[in-house]
Amino acid sequence: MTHPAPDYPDVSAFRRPADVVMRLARMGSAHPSRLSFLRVLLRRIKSEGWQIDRPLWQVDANGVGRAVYRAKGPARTYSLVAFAHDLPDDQRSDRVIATAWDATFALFDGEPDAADLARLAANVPLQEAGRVSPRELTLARANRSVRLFRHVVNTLAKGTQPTPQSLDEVGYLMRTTAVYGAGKFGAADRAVIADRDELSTPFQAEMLTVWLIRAFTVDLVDHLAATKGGAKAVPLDRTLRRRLGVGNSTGLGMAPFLVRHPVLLNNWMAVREEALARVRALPEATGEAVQALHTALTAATDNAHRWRSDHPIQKGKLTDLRADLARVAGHLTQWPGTASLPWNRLWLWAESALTVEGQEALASVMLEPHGDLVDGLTCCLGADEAAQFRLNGAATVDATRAALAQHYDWALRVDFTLPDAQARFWYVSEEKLEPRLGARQTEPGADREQPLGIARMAADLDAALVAYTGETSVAEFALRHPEHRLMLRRVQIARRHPYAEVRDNLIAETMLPIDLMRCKLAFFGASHFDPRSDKWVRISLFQGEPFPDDLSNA
Amino acid sequence: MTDIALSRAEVEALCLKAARGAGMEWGLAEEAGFAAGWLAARGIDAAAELLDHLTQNADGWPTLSPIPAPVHWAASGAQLCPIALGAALSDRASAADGPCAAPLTTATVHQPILVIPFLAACVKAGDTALALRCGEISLLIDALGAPFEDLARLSHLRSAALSLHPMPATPRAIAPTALPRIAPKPLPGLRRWRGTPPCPPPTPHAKGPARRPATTTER
Repeated sequence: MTHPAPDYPDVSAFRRPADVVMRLARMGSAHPSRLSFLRVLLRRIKSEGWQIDRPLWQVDANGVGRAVYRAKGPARTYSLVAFAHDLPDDQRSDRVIATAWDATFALFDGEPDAADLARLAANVPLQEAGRVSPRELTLARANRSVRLFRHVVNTLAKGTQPTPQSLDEVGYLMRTTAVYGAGKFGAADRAVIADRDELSTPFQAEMLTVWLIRAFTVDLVDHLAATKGGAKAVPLDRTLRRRLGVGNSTGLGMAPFLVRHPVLLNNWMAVREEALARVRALPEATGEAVQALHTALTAATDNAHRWRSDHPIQKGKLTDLRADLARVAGHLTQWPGTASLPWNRLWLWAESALTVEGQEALASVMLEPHGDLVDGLTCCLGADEAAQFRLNGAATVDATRAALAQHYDWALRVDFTLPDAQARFWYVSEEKLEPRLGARQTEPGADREQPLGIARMAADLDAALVAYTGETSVAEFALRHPEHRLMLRRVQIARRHPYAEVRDNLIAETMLPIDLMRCKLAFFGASHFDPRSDKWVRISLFQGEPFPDDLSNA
Repeated sequence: MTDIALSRAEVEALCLKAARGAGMEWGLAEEAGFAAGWLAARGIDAAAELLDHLTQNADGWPTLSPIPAPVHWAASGAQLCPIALGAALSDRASAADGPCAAPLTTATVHQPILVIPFLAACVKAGDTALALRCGEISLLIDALGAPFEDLARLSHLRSAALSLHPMPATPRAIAPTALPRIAPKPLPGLRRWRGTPPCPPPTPHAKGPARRPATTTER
């Protein structure tokens, strides 16, 4: 990976301000890019020559058993331990309240011995009802796409390959319904692995888990086809299988993450915006880069045509996206020309000619030719959140109000006397401890509201600060108003991290939680975002990307 | 019963939710989670101490706040809340009358072990060390924390006044201890708090009926 020199020229004049970037509508149009976490993982595995193999495969004719996938990097080895189950169709549920799955997984830190495997076999299939240990980095489960899974097994068993269309229609053999990391259910804390180079980018253990799950899903259909078809059976074609990713089904549980992790959100956004600014600041467009841009645009266009959704909002966005990408293709026939700053001209044209959906897609396409320029920035995606936790009590009321005026003007403008401005409230279900949204006017529970209505909290804080003289310390104010302590912390974080806050009212009637989810999933590298309602979505991970043995053989 | 190994993230989340459920404001509940997590990461299981504190004081958080002053911090009620005191000390880490600048004493603190993480945050921010005397126990807190044995002894002290002296920072290596483990006994109590409505009304804006959502009635 190329790390740009620390004295890289200041490109701040080309950086988009938070008032543009941090709006929900734009975050909800985010596209994966070469800065996305799964791309970071695959680049590392390739450049460092990781060796991936499958030391254990004990799966019977019914597809029940266990397997281990071993990923050996230069410093450490990680192992995906997979348990395959025989799940009756009527027990298959993507909901978080499910208690049985087609397959369950843990990512083990190192190589598990027999005792480790026995311990995992007793706990991993239980998921939340079991416990893992600090030797595990993730805990996950997946369900089959019954129709495609069965179709592929039957086709291969007969000695024929499935059609590309049949694969594209679903896009995955299994979809994960949860991938837990960062200390959940007894697994290793983030702090345990944060110092490891290969896991310092966020969600690398989770991405490695899903990538190895993808290999497992294809191995499983090959195994079942061979069992069923005997000598007639063929394995899934290596080119065809690339069309398959791992599906993921995600509900509201994911939505508050970005709000709860303001420093992390800032760093993700800041890295992407710095990358885009660097590209825009380039003095010229080399022939090589122009060629790579065309290739990336073609890939984005193909992807947009394969991308399906029945959700009315997403259908509209897909129509916009396809039309915009066609417009970009048309515009590129006249580009780069000879005038200065060609990339910036392209971007400014996009801002005037494309919808938000198209602009964000183009941002990802524009980064694609410039790995040398932007990939090094991915080392800044992580965050030491603990270091930002302590409240600075020496700050003054004046400074706090100034920070509110500068970073929360969007919140201070909201009229919270209007019912629509606080129509909803976030709460946590007691059943599964999962975030949910309630309607304030008609549903009970607002007394247990989660602190995610940042806009209103900012307005409340500002109103309370008015009563104090400007030089009063935050320490003094916080002592008298513990109810504002959480928001004081956020304001101090926002002063140092301009992209820390989603600049929209998260309890408004019009708020769409899927916008938060799409932003987060785009940073993961998810494609084919498909909302099934405005509260849960399906996506695909690693679709079109190589399999472990594609890289090992390369 | 054998101990349950919880990750630091789990200890923090559990204690934050419990503190909020027991009526602490969100920002202080976060501090409670931080304190329990900090101690757990150093091998000190403070879950029972936090639960004891939450259970005893769930109705009276405002009266547990400290009254900062030069030399002596009094309590507005009978005893100081270690979380409110710790947060207030940490907020004043760099203040001229703060704990890193001049010696100070405090009124009696309930479960004083829970103050230590905040003092560690103070010394980190103030680039100093702090000598603490609490009942019969003396310990030195520096940027890395404090020796495990001292923390373990302090965790048995249910309440005591604090006496703090700033000291020059001296680098000292403290071996990290085992993974966080907590005794199973306080878990049901903490989990029970987790789902309870907070005592004070959250904000003047909250107008919803004061019943919990129908989907969350399971206890």
